[in-house]
Amino acid sequence: MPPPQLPVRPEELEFFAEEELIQIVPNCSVPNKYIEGILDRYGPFEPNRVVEVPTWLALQLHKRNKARILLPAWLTSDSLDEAIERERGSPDSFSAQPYHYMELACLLLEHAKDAFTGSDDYFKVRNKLAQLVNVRRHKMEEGLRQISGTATVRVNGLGGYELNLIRNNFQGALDMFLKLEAVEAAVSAPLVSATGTFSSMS
Amino acid sequence: MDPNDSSQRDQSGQPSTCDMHHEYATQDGSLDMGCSDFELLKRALLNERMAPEILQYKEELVERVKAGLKRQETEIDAMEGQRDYELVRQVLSYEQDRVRFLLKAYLRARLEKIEQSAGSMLDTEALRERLSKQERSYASSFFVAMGRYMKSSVLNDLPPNYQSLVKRYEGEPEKRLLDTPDEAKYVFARVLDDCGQVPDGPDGQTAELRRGDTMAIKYTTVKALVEAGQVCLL
Repeated sequence: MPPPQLPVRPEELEFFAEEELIQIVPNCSVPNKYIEGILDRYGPFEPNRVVEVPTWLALQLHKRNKARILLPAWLTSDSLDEAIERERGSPDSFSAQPYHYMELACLLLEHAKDAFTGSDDYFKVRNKLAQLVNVRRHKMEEGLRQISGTATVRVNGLGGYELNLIRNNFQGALDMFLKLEAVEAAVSAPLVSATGTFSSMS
Repeated sequence: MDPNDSSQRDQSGQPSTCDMHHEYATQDGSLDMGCSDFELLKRALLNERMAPEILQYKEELVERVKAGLKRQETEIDAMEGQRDYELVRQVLSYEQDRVRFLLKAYLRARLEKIEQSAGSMLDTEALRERLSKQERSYASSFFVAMGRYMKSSVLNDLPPNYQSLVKRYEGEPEKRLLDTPDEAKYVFARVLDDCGQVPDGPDGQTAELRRGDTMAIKYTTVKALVEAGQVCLL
């Protein structure tokens, strides 16, 4: 039986991620300096002047060789090192990462390899990212094992990709506990209130 | 995007619940102020996808976006053939595709929900109010077509007391066959604005919702907050 459908598919997450801002250095200019779109005014586009644009625009310009993409601060080798340290140091919570860090990192690794230069070498960054993802995933699995009843859980710091990973399992388990509680209440037995020992995630 | 121009987008980073000093541009500006239409439409779409019942139609937002798309269409046509504007034209039509996709996704998510429970939507005043005019007429024609199909294929062959589309048998006081969505489920929610203590359980338990939190929480707890725009679903 195929697994239950996710309400937000990975492609859609990528679509949303492409709206996040990223810095570029254009090597061209446009008439009127700005591009007036439906949602926003993009620019100013001047050669060799750093400007922040949505990632989809950055990738389009990069594809046409009209701009150079600058690596976001959280994706540098040092930042990732720091993040891994923080993750390992706090078993109870997740370090704050941009919500779309996974999607943005994959987009850049695939389409903008020339953004990874110098000390933020492509393979180094990719390996560190993989490490970070692994550490977080272990924490999530550990947390999932501790669900023992309905509880409101604070899961700060998780990204969209990670929410999708645990969605079926996590929400499914909580939903089931909710249903069981309803049944218990219906038969008027004393309610076994399960205090969320999952508070390790709050 | 002029970094000095803060009127369009609010890029508040995550608050320092973990004592982070980094600011991440995750576009979770509070309420509706300083948010781009894309962000608003995205939130509307995700809310619709995650909520078990249909939510209020965002008429103003949809009309605004549709008007923007139309305006863009004429502008792009005007740029046809001008070499200087070639790049601009490409960028604008790419953006137009993105906006169109998002708008369609929102409308489609709502239509799916309508198809799932058209009967109960037409029956309940409160739910009917949440549909747009076109959605209402879609719901009725869908229900009628579905009904006709059910009657001709199955119901007309059943004994006379059991031929109703909405009641299990003639004389039943309630329309038990109409689907009502199940609200007892958990959702992931992002808190856009401080909500303080929110009643969370039958025993007077409360949950504290601080701005920037991501919670796994019962849908019923945050239902009103989602409508008000203080919480959005992920």
